[in-house]
Amino acid sequence: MNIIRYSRLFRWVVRAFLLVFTLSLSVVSLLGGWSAVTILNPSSNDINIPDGPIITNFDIGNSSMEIIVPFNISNGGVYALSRISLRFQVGMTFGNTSTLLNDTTTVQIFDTLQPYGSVLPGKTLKANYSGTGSLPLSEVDIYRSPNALEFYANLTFSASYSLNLYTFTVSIIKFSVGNYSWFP
Amino acid sequence: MGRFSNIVKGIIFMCVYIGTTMVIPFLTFTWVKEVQILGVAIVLTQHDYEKIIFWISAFGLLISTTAFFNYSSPKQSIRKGTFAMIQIILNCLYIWSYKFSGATEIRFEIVFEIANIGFISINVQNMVMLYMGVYFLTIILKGYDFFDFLLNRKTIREKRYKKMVGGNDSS
Amino acid sequence: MIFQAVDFIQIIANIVAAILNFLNPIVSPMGEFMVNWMEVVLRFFPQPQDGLIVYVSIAIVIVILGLIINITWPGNKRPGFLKKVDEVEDKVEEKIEETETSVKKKVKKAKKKAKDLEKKADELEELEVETDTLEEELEELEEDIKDIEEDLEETIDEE
Repeated sequence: MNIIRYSRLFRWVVRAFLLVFTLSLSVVSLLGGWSAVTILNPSSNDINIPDGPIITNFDIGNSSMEIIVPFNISNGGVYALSRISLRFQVGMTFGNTSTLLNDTTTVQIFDTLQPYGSVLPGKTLKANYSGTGSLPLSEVDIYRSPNALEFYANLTFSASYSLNLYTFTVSIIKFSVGNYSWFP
Repeated sequence: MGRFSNIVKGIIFMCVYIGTTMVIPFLTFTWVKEVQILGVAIVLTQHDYEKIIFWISAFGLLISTTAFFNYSSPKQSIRKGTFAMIQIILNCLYIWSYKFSGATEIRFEIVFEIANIGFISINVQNMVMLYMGVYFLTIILKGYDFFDFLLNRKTIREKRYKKMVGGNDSS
Repeated sequence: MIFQAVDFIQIIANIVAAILNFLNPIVSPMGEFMVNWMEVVLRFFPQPQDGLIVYVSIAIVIVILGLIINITWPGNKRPGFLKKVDEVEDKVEEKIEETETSVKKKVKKAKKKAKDLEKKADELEELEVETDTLEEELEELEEDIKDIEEDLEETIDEE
């Protein structure tokens, strides 16, 4: 009969702990991956940013602009989508009258990060991202064609998943969100 | 176990490790290098790709050869304990250096009709911390094994040679 | 059926999440410690611009060392301290065998003697039976003699 030494017994206990932990970690990874595929699958329409047209309201008199981005995020996975945040950076490109050849200049109108908390499994977050920025119109060439002002945005969507073990960020850079002309 | 079977065992495990630490990751990263989703390319940058392939080859080689030494050594021997520990440490370095490119953020560029229109980044820092924690405990366990083999050498050898030459030790 | 499966997955996910959430504060600091020392150690390893030559050389050395060491000492040779134990065990076994054989011989002899004694006892018993019958016969003869003597005395008296 073989008698197991006590030192070996202790080793088995630690190994069992490690096994349970590693298995749990693997299951979380697996379920997280499966859920991520479910959520991010383009055909599932779980994440829609923007969900409809981006609304831009120009108040030229007050040199300001408001941007509204409707979006919705559905969590079809098994873990909560947490630390959801949306960041919008809007840049304005215009012909600069203070330069010799009316070179185009781009200035950042606003850069706002908005947190949206968490979306539990099976739930949907439907919200509007809105931001206001001031327009530096003093040096704008208002006769520039085809548009005097062109607006571009960088959008960054970030969220954590699988018990905050993964954080993913999707960033779309320099896409057009609208333009403005004094003389249509 | 005789010397021939020991060496064969070592070679088998070396092949397994070459497969899992070098061949499969190499094929995976070569495939992931340029994936297309709905006509949009998700690209791993060339620099990152080359860096990852380098670390795969470097640590893959070291892990596979230490696995050969480890598995061709007799059970519960000091040399097995030593190389098992070295192998685990190399495994940690391997994971840290290539899987996460030395950082905890994997970044893919989004390319649409040549133009770069953005990026997707996955931050796995918390996940890596947990995995590294597991590795830490595994290293502790291997260290414990090493000292156990060292301190209880006589008992282990008595057990090993109790029944027959090269007999088994069930503990 | 599908909903039941989804429920089941959700239960598993919750259990696993509970385990991980409980162990996370214990294991994560260990991971952080690992990452810190690895970042330091990796600085001393040859980097991508240095090429693979160092790693290949180390790999070759490890394989050759492994081959030599594990062929020379495959771990099936009995260690010195066990050889002495073996010698003592052999001597003890020899002595045990010797004593066993001598005891067996003695037992055999004793058995033979016992058999002889049994034989003799049987013979004695037979002799006893014979003597008994002879004694009985003698007694009968004595009685006969007595009768004859009495008869003789009577005839003498009558005459």
